[in-house]
Amino acid sequence: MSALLEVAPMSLSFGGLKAVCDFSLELAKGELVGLIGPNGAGKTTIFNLLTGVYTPDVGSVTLAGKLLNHPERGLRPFEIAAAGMARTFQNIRLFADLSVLDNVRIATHLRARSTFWGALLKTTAARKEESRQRSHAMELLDIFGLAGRADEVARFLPYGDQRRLEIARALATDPKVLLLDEPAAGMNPQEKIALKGLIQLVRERFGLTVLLIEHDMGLVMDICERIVVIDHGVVIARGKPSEIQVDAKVIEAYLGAAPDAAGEAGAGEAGAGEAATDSGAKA
Amino acid sequence: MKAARISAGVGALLCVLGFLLWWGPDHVGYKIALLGLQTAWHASAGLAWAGVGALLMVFGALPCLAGVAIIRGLHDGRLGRAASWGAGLIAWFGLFALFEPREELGYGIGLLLTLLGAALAGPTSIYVWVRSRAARDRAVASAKAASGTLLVVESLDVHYGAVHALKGISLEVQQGEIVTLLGGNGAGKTTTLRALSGLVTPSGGRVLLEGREIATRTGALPPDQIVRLGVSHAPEGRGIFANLTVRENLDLGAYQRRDRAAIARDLEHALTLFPRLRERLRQRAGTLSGGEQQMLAIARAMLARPRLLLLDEPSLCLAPTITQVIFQIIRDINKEGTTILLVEQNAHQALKVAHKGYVLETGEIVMHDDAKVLAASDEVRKAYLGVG
Ligand SMILES: Nc1ncnc2c1ncn2[C@@H]1O[C@H](COP(=O)(O)OP(=O)(O)OP(=O)(O)O)[C@@H](O)[C@H]1O
Ligand SMILES: Nc1ncnc2c1ncn2[C@@H]1O[C@H](COP(=O)(O)OP(=O)(O)O)[C@@H](O)[C@H]1O
Ligand SMILES: [Mg+2]
Ligand SMILES: [Mg+2]
Repeated sequence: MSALLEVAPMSLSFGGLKAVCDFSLELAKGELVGLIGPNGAGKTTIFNLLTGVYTPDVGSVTLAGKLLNHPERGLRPFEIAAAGMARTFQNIRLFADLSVLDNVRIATHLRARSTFWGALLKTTAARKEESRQRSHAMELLDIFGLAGRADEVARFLPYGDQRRLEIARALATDPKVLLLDEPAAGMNPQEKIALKGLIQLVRERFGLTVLLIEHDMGLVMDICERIVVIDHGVVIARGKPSEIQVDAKVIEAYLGAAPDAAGEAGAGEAGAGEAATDSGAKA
Repeated sequence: MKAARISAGVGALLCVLGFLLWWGPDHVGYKIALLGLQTAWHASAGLAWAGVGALLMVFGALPCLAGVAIIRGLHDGRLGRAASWGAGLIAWFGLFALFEPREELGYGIGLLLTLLGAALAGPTSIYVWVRSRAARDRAVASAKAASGTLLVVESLDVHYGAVHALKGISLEVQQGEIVTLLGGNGAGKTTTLRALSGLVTPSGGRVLLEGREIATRTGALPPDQIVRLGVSHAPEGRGIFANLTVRENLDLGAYQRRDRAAIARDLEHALTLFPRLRERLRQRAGTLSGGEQQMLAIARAMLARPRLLLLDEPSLCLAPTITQVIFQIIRDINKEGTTILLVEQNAHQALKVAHKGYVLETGEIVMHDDAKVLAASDEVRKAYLGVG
């Protein structure tokens, strides 16, 4: 199998609520795939499963042949991060009271080569390592236009800047796969255009594979090569943006040809969703 | 107010007790008749009470207590009524004391209790009267303002330490308008809303709500008082209580309201607009999905039934169809009379629903005009609509 990330059909329930149901996915190296669906469809929950925040009831996550999450044999979240899975959070979760630079620097520690004693005794190697981390962090901040605010407290940044800082911090862990949870929320159309460029830039520069959750259809349709649509925890469609845009089920459940279609849609579509999963796996 | 209510009640009770004691255990039928008479008066218009007060004074009944009855005539409220019950009974006592003074046991105690009751009920009803007059004045002022300007921001400055976030911005919101605030990331939109709801104190300029200063450089009213004046804020980042249930969060939205029936109606309406919330009334709000939390924040702000609703990026994290619903809601509640100040990144939609807009750039207002004019302006199209 050439896939970098493999998700074997995975499910998770919260009490009586089936938040994710038989979700499977394969990401080839370098792909940029969109994950969309109505509010509460289970997108963020899938990210939480990929990063080990939740343990699936069934199913597994494998990254480059390494088993990351599994009902019994899962790794812990920081181990999964170290294995190359990084994410941003829909409800921003920066270290609110640390400086912008420290937010990124902390993340680079995951890849630090320094030892405990080295750091304590400030050996030459440790100091070199530290200055390397620092300049790497500044480089990332520079990409996201935050270098000028490096010393400000993260919590005081405008919302849009906090979103960009989240991406910079995720990149600082030097990931293979980057999971972006609504990176454009809180940005105006102009800023979204800039963000689009940034995502493509970092993807090329760092050789990333990206899974993107986003409600801004302009952005999703523009930069994703493939899109997976879920509703009520079930995949209802997979395909190229051009196919997704005209998919009747997607329009009914999510895109909304006529307003008000969102509420009732999806309940009776579990069967159809499974069919879509199958054809998606064959393709 | 609660203490006043209790003291008026206690006063009235003491008066009744004193009255009964003074009259002794006989004459029960007579006493009931008197109480009935009192009730009848009570039910009649305020003018009648004023008449009674005057009559009692003529008869030489304790004049100050009769005065209270006059107050009752002037002011019609639940508290005034409780106080006037006490005062009225005392007045009766005075009247009959005049005709039939008695020396038996109970006279002393009765008199004592009655006077005590009078001491409690009298001042309380005066207090209540003064308060209610102030409230009426305010109501008159707001009724006057209802036809005009609701919110005036005059060269407002806000500093965060050394950061000069707002540099003397001025804006006006008329009653019944939707006004949108556009601007790039960090322009100061959120800061403006925070200053309006008392979450930051300006370093210069002032904010007037219906002509009343709510924030100046010397201080701002505390947020809860601003809420009571009818300003409700759905903040960026939502500010919902993660550990409370959806239902509890919604109830908190209406905490300063007393009109139970209307609250229930509004809750029902909100749950119809957001069926997802109805399904999840008992879920902990912190475990809702991002979009569901956003729906909760908007529903909660609506439940406050504000006169001025401050919305900071309401469409954040919402799916396209729900975004449509949100903008429809904004239109609807505006039609019902709520004035709205809207910060929104979806400038397209915002300019479609708004009457007028202000454009903020690094803490300064660089443009303001009718929403239609802004939507057609080249600069706005380029900077905020992502066109051209
Ligand atoms: N810890 C939890 N306990 C109970 N229910 C939960 C929990 N976490 C999520 N849910 C529910 O599971 C469903 C899926 O949530 P999720 O956060 O994955 O949605 P989403 O697709 O990311 O939606 P949005 O676009 O609104 O962010 C939602 O209905 C949510 O309320
Ligand atoms: N608590 C704070 N402390 C310091 N600076 C702040 C604080 N809050 C906001 N700022 C700064 O004030 C400016 C305006 O921010 P904000 O009002 O959040 O902008 P907007 O909502 O338009 O994106 C920004 O430069 C931001 O960094
Ligand atoms: Mg989510
Ligand atoms: Mg803001």
